[in-house]
Amino acid sequence: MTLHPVNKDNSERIRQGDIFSNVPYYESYTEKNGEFELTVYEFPYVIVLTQDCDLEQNKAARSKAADTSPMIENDKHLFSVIVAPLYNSEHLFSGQHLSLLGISSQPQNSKLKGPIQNNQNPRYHYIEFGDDVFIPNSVIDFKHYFSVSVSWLESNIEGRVCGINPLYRELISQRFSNYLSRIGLPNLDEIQTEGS
Amino acid sequence: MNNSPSISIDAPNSYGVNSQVINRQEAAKINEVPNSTNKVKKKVIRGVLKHDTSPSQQG
Repeated sequence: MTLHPVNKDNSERIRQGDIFSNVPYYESYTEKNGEFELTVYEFPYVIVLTQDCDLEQNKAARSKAADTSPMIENDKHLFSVIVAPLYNSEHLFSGQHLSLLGISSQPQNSKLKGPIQNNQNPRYHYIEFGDDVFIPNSVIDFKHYFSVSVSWLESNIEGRVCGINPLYRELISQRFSNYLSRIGLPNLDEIQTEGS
Repeated sequence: MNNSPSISIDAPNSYGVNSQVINRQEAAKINEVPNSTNKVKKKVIRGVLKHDTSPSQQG
């Protein structure tokens, strides 16, 4: 099941499963001798992975703060939102999805593509969209997650292309958390070789 | 009054643009790279730090 139904909700609130276009990741900022240098990566599409209840409570708490005094009790405040990039599947399978950054990856042959397209590779989530969404077949790479400030997303809410519908977005979130919580075991063969 | 800071930006040579001092709006246009949609792009923005010298900020 790779076709993911979407909605085009126009609410101001950011939701889990929202897909935004042209999202920056600020890699570094330095100041030296009166000059600055800012390095930015711009991702064509990202999906919001933060829990929807956290996003809802954050929005509600900040709305209260805006209505009353500037100092308010707020233990729901979010600084940033977790997102993960969507790569054009053909670019990812060819290993060239990061070519503009000078990075190439191992091409995925048909034997490796199958598990990705069937969502059996824990690192990736493959998505196909309906005809009403102009996003090519895409792959979320859970290893490349990063965060974006809430204020940036809210200021650029017009960049929201669509939102993945409930259940499908929860499936993505669950697969993401499973990937993050994986346990890397030591390679016993290497340890035994080193010790011998 | 235009508050956009002057910045310099590295752009691909194939677009005939070298590092130069330009304003932010021009920088945004230069970074629209055709035929590279759906790939992650990198921008390097450089500029000179300026202190705010407006009267309200002076001692």
